[in-house]
Amino acid sequence: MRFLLVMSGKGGVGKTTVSTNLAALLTRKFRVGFIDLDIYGPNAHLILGLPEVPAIEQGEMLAPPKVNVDGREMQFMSMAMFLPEGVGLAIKAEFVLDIVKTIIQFTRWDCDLIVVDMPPGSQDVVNYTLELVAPRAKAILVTEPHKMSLSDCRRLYDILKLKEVELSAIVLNKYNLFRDAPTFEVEVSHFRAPIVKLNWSEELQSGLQPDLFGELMEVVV
Amino acid sequence: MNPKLLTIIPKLVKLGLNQWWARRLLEQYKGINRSCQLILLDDGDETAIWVGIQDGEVKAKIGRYPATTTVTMDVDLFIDIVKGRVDFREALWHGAIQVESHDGRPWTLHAFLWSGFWDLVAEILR
Repeated sequence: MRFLLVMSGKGGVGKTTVSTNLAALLTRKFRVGFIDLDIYGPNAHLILGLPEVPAIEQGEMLAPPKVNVDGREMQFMSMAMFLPEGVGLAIKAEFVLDIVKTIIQFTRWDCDLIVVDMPPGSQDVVNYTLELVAPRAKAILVTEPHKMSLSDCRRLYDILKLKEVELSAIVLNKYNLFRDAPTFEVEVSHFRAPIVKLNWSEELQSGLQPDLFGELMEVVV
Repeated sequence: MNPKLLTIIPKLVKLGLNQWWARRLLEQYKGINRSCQLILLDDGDETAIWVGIQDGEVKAKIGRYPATTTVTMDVDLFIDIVKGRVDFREALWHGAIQVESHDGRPWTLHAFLWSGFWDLVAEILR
């Protein structure tokens, strides 16, 4: 089982859009699991929906509930299943890492690969997750192509190198909206990973559009 | 036992008499031996209740006994949860309920399972 970590230096750059659509597309070829690892602010369920049957115990572990995506079943874990709508998480940081451990190591995943919608930046959850899955993981870095995000991308790239996680693609999201996108593209070309440009489109605002992510799937799988 | 708990006895009896709940619970925990030490606090006073599922049977007794998890909360909060005034998950993730694991698994795994258990309880008592 492999992990595909969808990461970003900043929040709100389209990580969830990329991860959910890519996961939906991957279900056409693989048995796919999906983890929304944004423990404090999960929102992948707003796109994928919530499972009808809750997580139950199966042989000392949790059995991941399933959602129907693009006509196919996908195993899905998110804090949204356990945190009621409108309720904030007010527990110690170390407890949050315990949640990550439960979701990754104590869930009976039965799939070929797991797409992980990571929290933004390089906070504790990101570092801890990399420690747990590094030998079996590849990363996708999602960013908007403007100079304000370059510094964050460099920091995240540095952490990936440190943890020896291969960067399999850089997604330049909303490419058509930023005047300095070509300059940014040159800068991130130093990361030596394939660059996938994704233009802003009305279609993507209305729900899953996995067909728009074919190029990304070719690059990362 | 804390006298405040007497106010929720009708609710607990309703729960105990619900056959559908008992069947679902036993089905879910088929082949699983699991126990919980519930500690209810009230101004330095403590009520300990042990609840376990062993060999397809639900058992409960007053006092402290070895358990796979310990769940600690204020007695008033427990009463509010049983009466449906407070959501178990909200209290848990706001840090008002402490869950400890004694079987080597993460405490949050137990917390996730307890969330599902209390959702079921709340559904029946509603």
